[in-house]
Amino acid sequence: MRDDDGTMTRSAALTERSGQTPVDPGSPAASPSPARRRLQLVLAGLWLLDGMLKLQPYMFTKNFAPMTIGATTQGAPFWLADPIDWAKRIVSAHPVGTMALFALVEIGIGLAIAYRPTLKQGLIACLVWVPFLWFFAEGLGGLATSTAGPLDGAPGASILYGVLAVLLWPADRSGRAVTSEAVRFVGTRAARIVWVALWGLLAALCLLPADREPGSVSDTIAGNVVGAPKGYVWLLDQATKWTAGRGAEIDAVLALLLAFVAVSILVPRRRVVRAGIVVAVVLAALVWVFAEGFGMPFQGMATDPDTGPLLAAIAVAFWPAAGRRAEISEPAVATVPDIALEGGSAK
Amino acid sequence: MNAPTWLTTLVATLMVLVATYSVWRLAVARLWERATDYESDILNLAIGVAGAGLVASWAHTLPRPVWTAVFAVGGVYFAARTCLARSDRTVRGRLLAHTACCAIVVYMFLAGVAPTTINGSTAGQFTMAGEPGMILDQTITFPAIGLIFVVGLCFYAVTVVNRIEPLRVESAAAAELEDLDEGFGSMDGTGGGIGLMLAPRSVEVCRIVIALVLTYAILTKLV
Repeated sequence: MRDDDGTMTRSAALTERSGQTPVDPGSPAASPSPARRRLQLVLAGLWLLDGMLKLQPYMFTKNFAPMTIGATTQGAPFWLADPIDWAKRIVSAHPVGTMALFALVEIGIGLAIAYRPTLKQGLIACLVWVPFLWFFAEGLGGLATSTAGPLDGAPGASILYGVLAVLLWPADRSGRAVTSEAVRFVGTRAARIVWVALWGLLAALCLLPADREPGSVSDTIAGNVVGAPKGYVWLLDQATKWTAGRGAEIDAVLALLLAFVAVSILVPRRRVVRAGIVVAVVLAALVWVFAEGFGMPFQGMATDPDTGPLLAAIAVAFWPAAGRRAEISEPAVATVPDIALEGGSAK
Repeated sequence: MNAPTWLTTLVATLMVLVATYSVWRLAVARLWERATDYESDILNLAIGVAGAGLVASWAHTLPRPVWTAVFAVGGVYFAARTCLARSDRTVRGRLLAHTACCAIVVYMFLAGVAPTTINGSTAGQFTMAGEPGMILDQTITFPAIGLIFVVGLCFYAVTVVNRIEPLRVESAAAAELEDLDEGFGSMDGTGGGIGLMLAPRSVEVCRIVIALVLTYAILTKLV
């Protein structure tokens, strides 16, 4: 009962006025890429959740700034710690005003991305907000310290929001090179660089000395027990027992798996690319459940859902969809790296 | 812990506004004999009234068991309607959302989501153990279910925002010219008169407000 452009026809409107049909808001208008739009909605939902978490009562107390923002300065160099201390003092002095503002900004970003006419504005706001958040609130995700690791939330949820916002920028680019939603705007080469850099960085962080301590993994898991529901506590306890004293081995395996994920995108086999993405999603889920404690919402102190869902969303954006080669519209020279994302064979 | 007083007041007021607008829609549809989705309006009215009481003490109305029973019956009704409407995907989706909404409100009443028992706000104070002036508040039971509902409500709000049709300036002017002669505006709310009062877009806004307020109410007790 709607026109092609999504507007309700007059006859449909009159039918609904007559009382025969309940008034329903209707369905969304056609989108150039439903898969891309779904990923944008995931980004919007995560931003909305992020903003709502910042309205928890704890955020408005004087404990928040020293315990949450202040914690990011541990081990940080002076050029990072000093500005964060400055920000911490401001938030400590005005916890209600600053946190209400933060929540409002993030809820606004989520709603703007979700509302189609303001999608670009929402993504721009996201890209403007992310550096500020990443630097002052997350201390660059711990990357400037010697203790950063994928199990500790590196490289920071904020920067992953930014990566996702760039990858999902609305673009109607088509052609043989468009083999996944991640390459539609930035192109194959840039998307591949992002993938390798992200997962390669996570693999490299596993090799840091601090992450190879015997108790590094079990301590991280045990830290999520406080305030958690009974069933989840039991699961974490089992995981803590199993990982106790095995930090070095687990981190070595994790580093190998992350390295496989990083290079899988370069292999000119669709199955390998997909296997890499599946491993990435599984690792993101494991990290989220066991190491990040779902972002630790059960303590009432969670400021975001943490990196797990964002890493998974980024991985899904790289999924080489079937039938993408049907979009061929321009002749191009097939290089081996190009085929990797396309999922074809190198033969 | 509890949130700033102005925030809980604002959130509760939003729910009261949703309830008031739903009453307004029902009254206008009845008096002017216009079509409206009675199920949605009645559900929004009930959630508006009950939800406000979950956030602020001053908005308390019926006892919790009564509200629990009301939404449990509503949930069963919408679940049955969802089963009967299997063939109509659009209607089924809407009824499924209503069912889920009733289930969430029932959960909230059973799990102990309620206005704070602390006098005054803890905003701007130290509240953690070991800190001066430690202040504690009650928390909900079944927090894992609450977390699932919080995530679900956020993504539901996003999908509702996504399906809102953008306002069209040209068509608004045209619709106004056409519809005002007949005494009511276009159904997308771009016209004037009763059409504007019954615009589906405003119902969608109510759904977004409800989803966000319920999310807020659960999160404030998810400790």
